[in-house]
Amino acid sequence: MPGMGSNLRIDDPTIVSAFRTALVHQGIILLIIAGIFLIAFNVLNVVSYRRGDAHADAAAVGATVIEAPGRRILRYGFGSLWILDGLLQGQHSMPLGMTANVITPSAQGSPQWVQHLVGLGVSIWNFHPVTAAAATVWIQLGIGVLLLVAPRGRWSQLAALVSVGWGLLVWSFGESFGGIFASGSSWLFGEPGAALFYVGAGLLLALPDRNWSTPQLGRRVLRIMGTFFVIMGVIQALPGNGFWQGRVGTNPLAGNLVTMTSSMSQTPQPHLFVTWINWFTALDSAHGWAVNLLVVLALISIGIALWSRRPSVNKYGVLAADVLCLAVWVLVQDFGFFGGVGTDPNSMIPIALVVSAGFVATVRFPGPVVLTTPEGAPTPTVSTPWYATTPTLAKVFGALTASAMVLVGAVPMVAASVNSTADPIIAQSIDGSPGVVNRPAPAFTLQDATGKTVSLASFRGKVVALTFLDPVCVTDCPLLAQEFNAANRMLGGSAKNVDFVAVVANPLYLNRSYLQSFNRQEGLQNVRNWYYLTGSLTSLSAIWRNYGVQIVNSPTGAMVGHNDVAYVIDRSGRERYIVNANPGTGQSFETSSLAGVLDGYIKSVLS
Amino acid sequence: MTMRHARQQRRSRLRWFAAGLASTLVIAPLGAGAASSPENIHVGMATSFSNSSAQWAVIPMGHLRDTSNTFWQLMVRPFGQSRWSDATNFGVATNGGLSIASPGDDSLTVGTHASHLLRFSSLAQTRTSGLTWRSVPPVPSLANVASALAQSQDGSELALIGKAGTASVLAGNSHASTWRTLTTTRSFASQSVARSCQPLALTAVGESSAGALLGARCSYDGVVGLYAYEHNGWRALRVPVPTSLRARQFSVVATENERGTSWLLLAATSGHGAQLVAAWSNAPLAGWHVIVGPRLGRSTEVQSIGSNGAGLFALWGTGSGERASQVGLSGWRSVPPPPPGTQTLSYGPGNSVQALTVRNTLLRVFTLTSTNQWHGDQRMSVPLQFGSSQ
Repeated sequence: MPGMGSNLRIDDPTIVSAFRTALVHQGIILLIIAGIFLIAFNVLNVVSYRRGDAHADAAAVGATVIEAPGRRILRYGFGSLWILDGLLQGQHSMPLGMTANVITPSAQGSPQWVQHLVGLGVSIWNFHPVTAAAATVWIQLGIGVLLLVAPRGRWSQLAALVSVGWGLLVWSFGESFGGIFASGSSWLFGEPGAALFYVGAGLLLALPDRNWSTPQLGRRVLRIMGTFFVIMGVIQALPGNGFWQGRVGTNPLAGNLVTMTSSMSQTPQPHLFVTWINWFTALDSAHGWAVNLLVVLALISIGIALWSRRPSVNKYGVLAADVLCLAVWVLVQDFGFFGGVGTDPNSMIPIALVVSAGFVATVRFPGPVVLTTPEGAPTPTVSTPWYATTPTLAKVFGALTASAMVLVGAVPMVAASVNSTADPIIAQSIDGSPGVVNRPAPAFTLQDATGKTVSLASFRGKVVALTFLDPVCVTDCPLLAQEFNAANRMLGGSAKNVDFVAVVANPLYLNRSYLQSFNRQEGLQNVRNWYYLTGSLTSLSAIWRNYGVQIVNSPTGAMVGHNDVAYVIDRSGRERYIVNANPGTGQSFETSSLAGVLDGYIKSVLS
Repeated sequence: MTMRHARQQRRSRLRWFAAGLASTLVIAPLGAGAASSPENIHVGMATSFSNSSAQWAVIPMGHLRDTSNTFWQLMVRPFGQSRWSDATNFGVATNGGLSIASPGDDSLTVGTHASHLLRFSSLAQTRTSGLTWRSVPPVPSLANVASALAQSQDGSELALIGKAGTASVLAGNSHASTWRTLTTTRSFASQSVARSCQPLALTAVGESSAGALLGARCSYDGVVGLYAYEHNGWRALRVPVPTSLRARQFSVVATENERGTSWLLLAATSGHGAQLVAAWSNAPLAGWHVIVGPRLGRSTEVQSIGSNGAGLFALWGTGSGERASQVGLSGWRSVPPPPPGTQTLSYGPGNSVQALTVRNTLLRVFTLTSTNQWHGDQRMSVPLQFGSSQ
């Protein structure tokens, strides 16, 4: 899978502008939804106050449910991480950079079936880059807010389960299963994937409160993480993965860690961080073997410490794990989110959060405690605002708003994923806006591939989509022909009112046999409303000139150059749209997008 | 260690030994079989020959490891001129390769092999040494072999199309305005005439004084698959095989017609490499004379074959550079090692020999002096349009 192609830069202004507009529009929708919720709860509060429930509400002011500290660490930690990830997804490079710079590279080196699976996700994203990028922003922000505002109960469990589901999607499609199926993977580089820890944390948060009231849960978490650390240590110690060498002398072959940190230091970021990572790169270059030995020993020691039955040993293990994670996060993973296409702070912070939460959970917690106003305390008699007097309602309001946030992203994403036509914005970003004209189309009389004489006048009464194709062109022309054919299919029943016409665009291969070969190659020979036309060089030259088509013959083995252009001509023979019809690099999303654009222009002329 | 343990250990060792022996007995013959299995030799499309008006050469230029940026160039040196020029101005991308054919007069037909999204081969003809071209009706994708196109003196053409193992032979009338299928691999293999060969693939087409020739790669060792088309049917031509090569599998790599003499270049392959063999005949339907040529190492690629005016030449790469040999009626003769980067040799009037070397966009032409030294004659930079086919 080769990325988004040279014709579409990741900071393409059309796409970036559309992305920002989508975020603003969806943000406004969310504000409206939040406003509606706000009004609804205010009304509910007033009604409830007038019914005399004020005392009950007021009594509830002092009611507080204490959440298990370990759970709270996870909830606040991962809630904040989801929000950070959502904000990072809002970077302007995301619509086009996500697949080309993040997802596709992460799949390289993985087995074919992983690449195929990832390819499905990439395809959906590429076909709908703006929708997908905006959806990811809102879904991740929504999950984060939901986790933060819903400390317990069904809302909290809902947040946890959504976190699990989205985390699994991110882990499989976005992180290629964290690279666990790729060779040469390393804990230092983020394997087995940060999203896997989001999933794990979500599962822990979804557990009933009673599970958090005993130390067993915390001990299990520590043992699982202990096993994880030991396995990662063993993998790190395997020879042949390129982690035991730095860069010895003038040997150009650097170890994997040096290569990684060297490339990370190239990422745009504050100079201070570059200094740190360069220092570590120099250290590892000089002492690669010792650095890896230290990492291996640290990982295995931490793993063993987390398995210990003695809390004091656990404590030092957790402390060491946190310090090691922090060091790796800063010195190897370079914080994970710089460079414009960083999607999350990588795996170290999630790992540290899970380990820390597990350790805190090993301390016995008496269970959810409800603190109420002491007996005999004066009951409030003055009406207080609803948001102060009805904390439950406030949390429900927050949870509903966060859920709406998730839905604002998810609904368009689901709709887009079942739409097999790529967004028109892709073609618009490649080709710009069409020329809107209203002038008589230059007349022509030529022969079709069967030898029948055809003129522009003979198409009168139908809309004509006209282009110029070189029958021996090896790239753009076959793609353009397929785009015309796709637009034809999209028209459905309206296609009977449209003719698709191509005029040959090569001064040498004018013979009808070339047109027939091209039609056969593209499967167009039996398309009823497809006409590929040729004629004498003299008449063709006049048509090329009249339609502004420039033909450039290369003397050195390149194909004939000509501009990719399509005209939409109305039923009365007047040009209405001039579309720059560059098919891009020919990737399916580009082809599909241009077909969709053509389809749209033809329909507008038909109507 | 107890006695019981010792016995157990001996039994275990015996089991391992038996398993190892069995494995050796099973695997060794498989390995030997693999070593003796003949490999098909790869022959590149670079070539050269002369018609009545000029010397022609087809060479790859550009980034030769990247097919999208390899541009096959048709170079021409009209007689009477000292310099080569580029004649690749026939309006099609040449990344897939070129095949050329001429009946010997001043005309030349060039077929462009399909590449990228194009799945048929365009054909163009010139009678003006590449200054002007006219198109000829296309054929389905030309086969990826050195001799995929041939032209007889009456102007009729032969084309070998399709992939190895499923190729077909097409015949064009004198102006190649229409093409008809002469045979396909499957239908040919089912004919009685092919029984002694059991062709694995059709490998070359050519023209001779006796008509169309078809070469094949035979499944049977020691058999040369060569056939002439006459009276709307194929006839097997018997090419004698030296006793020393009867255990080898033969492929017809190229056919040439030089001044009434038909030439064949054969590759006799075995698991240890290939032997080049030439055969010639003044009366193709009657008798062939076979001359055993140089032996090529395993996985050696023949870069270029072509005509030397009185026979054939072959250029192949070795680990240390290119080597070349030429063959005429007097036998095989090696050519002094050509300069690095040589893509083909070209034989001109007066037995002059030139080597066309390529480095990216730079073409250099060297001439073999009377002292058997290569002397640089011409440098030409070809403005390739990299990325134009991507």
